[in-house]
Amino acid sequence: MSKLEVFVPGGTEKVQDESEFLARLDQLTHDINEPFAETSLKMLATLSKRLLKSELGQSEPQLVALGFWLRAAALQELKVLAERSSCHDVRVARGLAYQLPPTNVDTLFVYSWAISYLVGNSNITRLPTSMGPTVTWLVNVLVECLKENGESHRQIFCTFDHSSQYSESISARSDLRVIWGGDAKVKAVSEHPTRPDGLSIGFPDRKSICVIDGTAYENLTDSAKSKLADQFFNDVFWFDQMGCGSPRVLVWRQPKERDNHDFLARLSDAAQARRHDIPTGVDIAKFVFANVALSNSVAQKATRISHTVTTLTAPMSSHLLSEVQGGGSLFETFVTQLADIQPLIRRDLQTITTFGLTHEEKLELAHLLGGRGGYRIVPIGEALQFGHTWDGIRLIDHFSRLIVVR
Amino acid sequence: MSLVELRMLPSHAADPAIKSSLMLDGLNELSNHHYKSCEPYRRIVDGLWQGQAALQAPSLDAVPYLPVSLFKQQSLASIPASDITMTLTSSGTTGQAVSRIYLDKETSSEQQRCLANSMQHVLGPKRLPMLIADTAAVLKDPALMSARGAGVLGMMRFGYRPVFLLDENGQPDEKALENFLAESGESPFFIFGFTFMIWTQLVSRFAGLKPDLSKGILVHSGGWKKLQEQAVDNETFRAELYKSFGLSQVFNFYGMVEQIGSLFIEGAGGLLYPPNFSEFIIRDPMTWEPVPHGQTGLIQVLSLIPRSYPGHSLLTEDLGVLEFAEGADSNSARPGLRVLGRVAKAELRGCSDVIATQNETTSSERVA
Repeated sequence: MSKLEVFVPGGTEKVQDESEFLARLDQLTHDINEPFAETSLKMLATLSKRLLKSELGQSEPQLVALGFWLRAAALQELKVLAERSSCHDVRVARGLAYQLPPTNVDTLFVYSWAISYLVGNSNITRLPTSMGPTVTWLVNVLVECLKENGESHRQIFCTFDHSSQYSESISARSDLRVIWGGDAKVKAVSEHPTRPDGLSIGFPDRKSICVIDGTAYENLTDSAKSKLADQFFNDVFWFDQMGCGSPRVLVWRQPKERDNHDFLARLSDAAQARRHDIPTGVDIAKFVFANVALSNSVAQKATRISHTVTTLTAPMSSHLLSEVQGGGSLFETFVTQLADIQPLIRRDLQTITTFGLTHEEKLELAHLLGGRGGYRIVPIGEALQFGHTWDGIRLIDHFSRLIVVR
Repeated sequence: MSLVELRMLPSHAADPAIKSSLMLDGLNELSNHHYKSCEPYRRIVDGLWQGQAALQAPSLDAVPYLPVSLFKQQSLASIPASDITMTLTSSGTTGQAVSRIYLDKETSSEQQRCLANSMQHVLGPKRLPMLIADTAAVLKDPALMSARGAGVLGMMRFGYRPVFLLDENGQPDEKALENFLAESGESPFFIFGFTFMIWTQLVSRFAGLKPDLSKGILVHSGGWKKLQEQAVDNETFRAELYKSFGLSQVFNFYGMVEQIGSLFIEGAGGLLYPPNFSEFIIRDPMTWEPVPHGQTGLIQVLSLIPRSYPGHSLLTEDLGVLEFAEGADSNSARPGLRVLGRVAKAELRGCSDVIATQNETTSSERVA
């Protein structure tokens, strides 16, 4: 009995003949497409429409975000961008890409796959063995679209146990391997070599912070403050604050008395207005976390603003990024100048969402990141927005090859 | 000392007004004691409550509380390490964090006195011969020892001549039961077992034998989760025990290692009643404000026993309701607790893959 199952419309199919399956993968290296081929663009446009029209999208905003990202006009922009960056060289597909998306972020696997698909690669994507209803639904829509486009054989979505030999066999056949997940996963998968000329890219554990300038916040109107808190809500609560880009530490530069509390109270209101549900178990876990942080002296003060938001006031320390508790648990720390956030610029820092910094300050901050960590400096509200430059890597360029023609 | 005063009163029968004022004095005194003696506790009270002001709570519901799971993550003691005479651990699935509760001589003898007091309330002043719905192997197997073994061992102090219903291989020991019943004749005897063991072993495997257990007093605990899966509630449970064995004296209890010595024992209306030196508060699952009787919420437990560790006021992860037994006057009757089960475990998504989460299956059983 084979332990590998391939997703097909309506369910999965067990692979009966392992060696035949692997022989098929060997062929996929050559079974590629032109970058940004019309058929690929059309297929993704169809997918986009189905996502945007779906009923599930009403309750799962990340599906709408994905649908929006995949719409025809957005992909055209991507195409222009790719053409511009290739200059006079000719962009071609790498061959077979092996995609290992993270277990828990519902839609990320589509972004990573779509870019690889767009540049013409064949893909084999390994999905988690157990998936939530949203992902199951999404995979089904995706494989339906692929089937209609006649590409099921070279755009494979499958699942298999990590303990099986498949990952090793697939790695050995892959021209590109993309590993999303924790440090341990990147390390474990990397033990198996790709093709000698294959490229393996790891996206390991990352953590994120938010920086707000106190004066800029104070100068906002009442409604602008609430709007900012509402945007911050997306950053914090999508993916239960467990995404790489989800802010965990909120750094205030010289806030006015009580302004930090005002902002978080508005965050709590935003969560309530959106009827964001925090399961009691998560609420209690956050309370335990606050108690632990206080008893360890990691934090000095903790406030359960509501069942959605708990804040922990702590002195600036690099350690704050190591403390993990999602679901609306934020460390707050205060600085007098931007350079004081240096302890947080660790290797595993990903996104710095900001409010109230000048463009010059952001550029200065960017230069602080070299040789350390930190990959994105984006406005509040965009912490989890997927970009084709991710963790410092231009995905289009890395997922394809450039042929020099003179 | 509020604790001693309350303990000396007839079990589970203190006048509510007297009890509540003695409880408040005792709890405030304990808050002060732990604040002085346990640094992590002091940091929590200073950082999450109103510091020293919180030590003089004007009412029971204003006493600072710790989450019960904190004892799984932190070592909390209000005594120097050299005074620790006993460390209790909660049951838990292998690999799961367990609570660690540190006792000194004083607290451990106090909890035993309190426990004995509660058990006497049920079993009477004399020690009774004891039947255990389990196997003696549970005392030897280190894997079972933390949970079932410790519970069985703790209860064995309240009976004598213990007989196990199951042999070392977990098979029904019919002969042992027959001998036990022949020896005890018309005298009362004590039966102890975990709720799920009573159902899956005693009821399922001995009902055909039709032993007469009408002289038995059954004390059981451990939670209803496994029985709820089979749609067995307290009423069904009691009815079945009466039908199969003539067993009518059945007492469920609720307690936890983090508040050792404080047993909530089943009484009127099938509700669980705290002993004189303990109390409970039901809090709204969202706001955590106390709710009136009849409303479901998180159970907070308060006890005057914990002196060697700061466990006198704990927010549990159990859901329950404060009720009055049917026909009871809610002005004078003592309120009882109905436990509805455990809050679902926190599950958070994330892009960092977590490996080996299979240990997160079940929550630990609560035992005394």
